[in-house]
Amino acid sequence: MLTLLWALPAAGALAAALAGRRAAWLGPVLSAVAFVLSLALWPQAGALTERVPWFHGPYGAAVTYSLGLSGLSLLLVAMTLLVTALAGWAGRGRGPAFVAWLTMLGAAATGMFLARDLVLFYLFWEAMLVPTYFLLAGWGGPSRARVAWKFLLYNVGGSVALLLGLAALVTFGAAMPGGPSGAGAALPPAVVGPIALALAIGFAVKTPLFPLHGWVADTYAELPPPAAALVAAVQSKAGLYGMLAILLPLLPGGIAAWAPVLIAAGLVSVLYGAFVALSSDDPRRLLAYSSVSHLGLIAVAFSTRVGVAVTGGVIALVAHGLVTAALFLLLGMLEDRVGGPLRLRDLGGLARSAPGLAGALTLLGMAALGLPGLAGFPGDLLMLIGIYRYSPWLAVAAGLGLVLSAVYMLRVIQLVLHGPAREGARAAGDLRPAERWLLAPFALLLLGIGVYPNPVPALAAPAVASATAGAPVPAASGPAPAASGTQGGSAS
Amino acid sequence: MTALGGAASPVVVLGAGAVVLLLLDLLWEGAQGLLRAAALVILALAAVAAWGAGGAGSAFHGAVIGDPLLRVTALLAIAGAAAAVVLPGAGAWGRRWSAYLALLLWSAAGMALTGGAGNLIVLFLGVEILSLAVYALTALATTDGRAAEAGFKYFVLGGVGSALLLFGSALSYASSGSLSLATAACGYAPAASCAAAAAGGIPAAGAVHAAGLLLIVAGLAFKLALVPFQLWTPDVYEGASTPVTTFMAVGTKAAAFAGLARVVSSAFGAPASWVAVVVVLGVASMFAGYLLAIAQPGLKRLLAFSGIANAGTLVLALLAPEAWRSVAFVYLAAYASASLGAFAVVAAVESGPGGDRVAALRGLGRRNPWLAAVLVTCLLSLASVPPTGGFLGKLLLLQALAHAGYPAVAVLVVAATLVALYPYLKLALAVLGAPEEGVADAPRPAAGPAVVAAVAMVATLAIGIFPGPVLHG
Repeated sequence: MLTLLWALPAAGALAAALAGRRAAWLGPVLSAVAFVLSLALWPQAGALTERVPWFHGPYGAAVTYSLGLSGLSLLLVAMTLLVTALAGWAGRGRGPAFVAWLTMLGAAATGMFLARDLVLFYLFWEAMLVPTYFLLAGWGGPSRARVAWKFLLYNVGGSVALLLGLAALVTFGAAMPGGPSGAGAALPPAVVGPIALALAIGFAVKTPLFPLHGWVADTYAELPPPAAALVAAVQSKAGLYGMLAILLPLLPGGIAAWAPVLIAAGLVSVLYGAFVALSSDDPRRLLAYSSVSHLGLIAVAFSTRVGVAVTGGVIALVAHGLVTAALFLLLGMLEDRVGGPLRLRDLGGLARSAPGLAGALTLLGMAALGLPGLAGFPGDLLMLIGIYRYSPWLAVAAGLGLVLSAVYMLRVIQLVLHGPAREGARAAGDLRPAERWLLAPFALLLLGIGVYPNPVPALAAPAVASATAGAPVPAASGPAPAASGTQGGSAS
Repeated sequence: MTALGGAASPVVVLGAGAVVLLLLDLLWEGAQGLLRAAALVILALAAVAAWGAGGAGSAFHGAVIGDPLLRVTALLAIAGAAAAVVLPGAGAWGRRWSAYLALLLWSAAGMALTGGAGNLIVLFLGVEILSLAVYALTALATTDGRAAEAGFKYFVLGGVGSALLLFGSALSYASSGSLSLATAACGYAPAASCAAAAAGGIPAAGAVHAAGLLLIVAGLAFKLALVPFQLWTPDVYEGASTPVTTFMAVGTKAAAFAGLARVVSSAFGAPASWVAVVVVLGVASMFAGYLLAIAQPGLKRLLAFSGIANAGTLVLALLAPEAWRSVAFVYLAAYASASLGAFAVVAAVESGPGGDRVAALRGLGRRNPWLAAVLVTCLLSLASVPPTGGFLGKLLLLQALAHAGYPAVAVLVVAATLVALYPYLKLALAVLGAPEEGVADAPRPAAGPAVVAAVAMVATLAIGIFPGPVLHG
């Protein structure tokens, strides 16, 4: 059953690749079927596993094909499949090969979120690289060859660091948390630090965190918007998911040692990303840097290992995925009207000529800047509370990032929607019904999570608990309300 | 049953089969199709024999050891020979086609013998049988001047390697009084087999013995093309006809590694100086091979340097006292199948304009997607990208090194893998990219390369996905 979740989109991708134009619709439709299936599995989240023995190397535990559906996995898998289906549908016009690679990326990401074996996790992790590369090299902008190389070098470098860490973990008998053989043996203390560093580098490249973020802006700027929606919404979550599901629970000692470095890197990402986004005129780059900023904040929250902050981080993870995907899809619709990449200054006055589009952009922008009542807010709030408990000064600095995010999002809304109508804007018609339907699920989910976020922390509670187990309770904390305590009943 | 059903049976089948082929040629002159079919049948029989020999125990009083190492070596040699029979490019042999096939089979017999060598004499015999046949295969193939030059170069340098091996064996025998490989390294490690040797009155190792072992290792390093004994490799790979190069890349590597493993695997677990020899050879080959591969203009030369680097990486597996077998089996099988696939692609495209130049391969994905898929799969395996066999071999090697207490070597392996990504991925991306202006369509590959390529691609993926059977030989 769990295998179907990634095999369905993969089959759709194969069908689109082999049968060509006639079968291109299969990719998004099978992804949508898998999405519905993942929702149907909601009641069984945390209990569902699949396991087939694979091979037994000379060291460590046997390698198995193990999948598991924890609450955290369910959240990310459902989001991945939804974005895959909608982005695939939006990208149909670019040909069957585009749909095939896009759906394949979604399938690989789904497998990665489900994997409960370290080797299997790495296989899916690597499998995400290939489709992204081909999406870049095949459908990118004018400098795609250079950017595709850059993407590959950064990410393969990160993968090699990750491989080193994972291989060491397997060798010393550690196993993926939630996997068939439990957490496995205890590691020799001498290797914990280096392994944690290797894993952290691998995850930081993908996220990306500050000194390793060089590939991200170029990649998002070159990718066509539907592909960028999937890469930005899903692939960037792989690093943070890995941090939460592998690094924190398996190597609490290692993460404690490296926490100052990770927090510093995250904080620099928050501020640096926000400032660059503030001065950017290219909407794709703006979204890229706003992602760096937001994901940096989540990385800080995870690194503090304060329960509230980690819970907030998970909510923010989901919210950021939905918002970013929807913004990229909306950007794609705008670009289709103008006929190519656009600059913010060339737009203006869309509020009058295209009220529907303006409404959608306003809603998404508000969600991105964390307006209460929308999905961005609960995550940001919990993260700030948690980070405050860890260190008040840190919370001030992180809060500055949130303020800046409000500034650049409002600047976008002002430039695009208001002011005198420009050449480019006048030609643009309003959203067509099909486009409205494409964006509607995102709007509903963002509103839903904003108003009633409880199911998200409830689903994520076990992962948060295992990630924060053994963390020192910060002195400043009052009676810490367990994330799952108040919302426990809402999941079922 | 010691001869035919025992450990030496693949050697016997291959050696006798070569004679049968020569006789067939006398009876039906020039019947190429018949000879080809007969050679394939003999190879199939040899494969069955090799499978059985892997569990047969030792034969001829321990001179030939029938264990999984013999099985893997013999099967890889047979696979390489089968590819060399099927691939086109040996047409220049013309009337001497039966000689070509017989030399292939004899060389494969030598490889199998090396893989099962239990003492220094059998080791030397095996290495010489395989080498002499390959010299002839390299030099006599065509009227092309490059082939003759390559063959001569190979003969001279290979002769030096053989001389080192022989002299080292003599020194080792003189100092220890034993020819057995199981005890060759006694005095360097308290291996279980050495207790018996000590009881037999073998003196502890001295300087002469150490020099002997060092010379044996150097001789085998020549055959395995480890730095600094690799100078012949790129020219010979390029000069020999593609089927012969394929055979060499797969079979000679496996056999030379097996010989080296038999000599040194008992020597580990103790002194650092002995470990240093393997580490230096391996690490130097790894980095030199990958770095030099970057600038190669042709696929055959690139694969030559890739072979050097892979041999170096593989040798490092010997640092893990118990686990080296599993690691080496997976690594060797993955390397062999990736090389087979890549050479099959070379054989398919080299008759076209531009030969195997990298520039001529640009855009192969548009012109011939299946061939391009094989080449890319094989290149990814050589670059250790999952889910291929090359990835799994690398993973197991890293685990073994970490577990055996050589984390620094593991980090070096990872660093070399990073270097390796550049030449392989650059070529893979060129293959998948847009074709260059003015390059004619590649000719449709003949049946031979197509079959080899397909089998190699399936094997490369299968080793990565279902490694169970290979892991344990």
